[in-house]
Amino acid sequence: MILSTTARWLLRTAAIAVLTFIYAPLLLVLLNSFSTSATFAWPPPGLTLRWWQVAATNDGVRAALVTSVEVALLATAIAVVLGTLASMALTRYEFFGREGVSLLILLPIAMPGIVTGIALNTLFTQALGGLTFLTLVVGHATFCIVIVVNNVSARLRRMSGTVEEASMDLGATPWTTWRLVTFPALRGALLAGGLLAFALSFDEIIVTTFTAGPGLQTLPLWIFQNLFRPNQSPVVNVAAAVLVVISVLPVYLANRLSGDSAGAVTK
Amino acid sequence: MPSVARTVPVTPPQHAGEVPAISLRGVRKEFPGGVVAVHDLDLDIAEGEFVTLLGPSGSGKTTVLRLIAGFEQPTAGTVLLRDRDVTTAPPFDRDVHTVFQDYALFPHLSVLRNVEYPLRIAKVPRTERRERALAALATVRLEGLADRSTTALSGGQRQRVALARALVNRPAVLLLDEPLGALDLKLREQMQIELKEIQRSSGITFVFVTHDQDEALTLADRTVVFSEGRVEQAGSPQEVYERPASAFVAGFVGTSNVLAGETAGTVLGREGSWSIRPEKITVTAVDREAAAGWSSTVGVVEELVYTGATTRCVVALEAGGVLSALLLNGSGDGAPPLGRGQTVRLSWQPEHEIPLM
Repeated sequence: MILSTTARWLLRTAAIAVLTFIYAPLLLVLLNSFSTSATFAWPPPGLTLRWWQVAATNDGVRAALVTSVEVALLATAIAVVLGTLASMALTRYEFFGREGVSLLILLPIAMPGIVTGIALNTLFTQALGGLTFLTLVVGHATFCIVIVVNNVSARLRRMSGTVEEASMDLGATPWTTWRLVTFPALRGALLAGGLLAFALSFDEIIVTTFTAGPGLQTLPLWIFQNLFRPNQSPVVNVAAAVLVVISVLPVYLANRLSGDSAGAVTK
Repeated sequence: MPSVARTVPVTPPQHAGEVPAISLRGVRKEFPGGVVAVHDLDLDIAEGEFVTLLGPSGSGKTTVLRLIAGFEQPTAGTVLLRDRDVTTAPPFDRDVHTVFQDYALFPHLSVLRNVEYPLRIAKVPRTERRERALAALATVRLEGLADRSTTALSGGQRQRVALARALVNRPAVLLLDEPLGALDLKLREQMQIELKEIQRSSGITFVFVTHDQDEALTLADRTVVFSEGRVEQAGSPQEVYERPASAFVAGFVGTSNVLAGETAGTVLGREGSWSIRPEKITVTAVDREAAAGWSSTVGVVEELVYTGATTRCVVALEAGGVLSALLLNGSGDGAPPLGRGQTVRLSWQPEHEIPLM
């Protein structure tokens, strides 16, 4: 498509403006975590690693980071196992109500977090004896599964079903077929789905608020609770920077993975 | 259409008495929704035989293949492989390997690893595995591509890898599901010759599904023609072509050239439906008498289709109906003596009038 010079100039400006609007505040957070000024004076009077040292020795931040990683890892593990099984069922087998089940599995991602949160909170506190670390993990798994199912199903649909038939035809049992044919073909999709699920869980705050056991703090929760304490501001910036990096990195990797390996497994 | 399934001899005469490689007894396959893909099929396939299953799409031929492979289980009836009842046995418990229509190569494995796969499953030691896989690749003339990724191959090469993979562990039976369907004509003809050679030298029983009548006749020791889930006719390519058992076979194998009803009465002086193959018909000027003892009729040339070696001459008969005659373009003078609208005499020997049921 050929654009006039004016149109090109306008579109370029608009693109730059939008991207600046999104990323400048993020860069500011990152920059402020190195600023010598505790009140974010602009321009920063000087650069220092002091806030990173403070954060590293702050028990609250460290406990929150560990909790976040633990929750994200466990939720991802649950999601990968259940999501793969669900994808296999949805793409490889015909059964009554398949479309309905498919929709029900994907729905949690569209559901407002606050509704999911309240619903799970009611269930856990009224019927299952209260909130714990595990209720938080299960809460996160509900939406992590969706990501895994999406990735794995897409790969399974692209992969011809006759490949599995061929394996069994050549003498392999269903289990051997899974081990030698299906799983290797899905490895990329599983890793990508897992990374995305991890990232999603790591920075989640709404469902977390309603399902975390008493005294448990994830990194986003810690940030939220310390945001308005003036003396904590620089440390909040450090925590935010860490949060950004740990959330963005898996997404970047997942993107590269699904781009690279997609070509290799499709015909 | 009347079924002739039970009146057709389906046991190959040359192997009568031996244990058949495959035996289908009263096999019926009904899919959910009441669609009957295969009606009460009885079919024996002899050890070492090359059988083609020929029919239009939806005639049940692929379902028969999947029943033999074990991907489907019959609603009724028995499937025997060398006298062993495998009716409910899973695919991995049958000594039958398949070449799939889309080849179904494992995308994450190299050419060699694909071919080694069945040996790896059978726990053949690594060095022997490699040797045998390379030998199988040599029979399909792909030994140079062993370390390639299968995604880097052409359609014809993939087809050969699939063939080598299915043959490497020497199954009792090889099933081929329209394996040449995706190849261009030249490659197809070449692969047909190679397949025939591989089958002959290996002695493995081949069951080959196709909707292409030329392919079915070229390859087969015996052709089984399917229509709407039933066997219309089973026999050698010559039998099926020269002596079609039904109007369906006459039409599907070769060009339909059927005289029926009143036309048959006027032209042949006989009741019923009759088939005459186009190449048996001689076209002459209308004022020339037909040879003694020959049948003949008169009509107007409606269409002349020049196809290089032959010309198809479509004649509208005065008695009603249409007959095609196939003329060999042998004279070389280039100018066919026929023109559209010309009145001609068609004649043939009465022995080429084949009664259809």
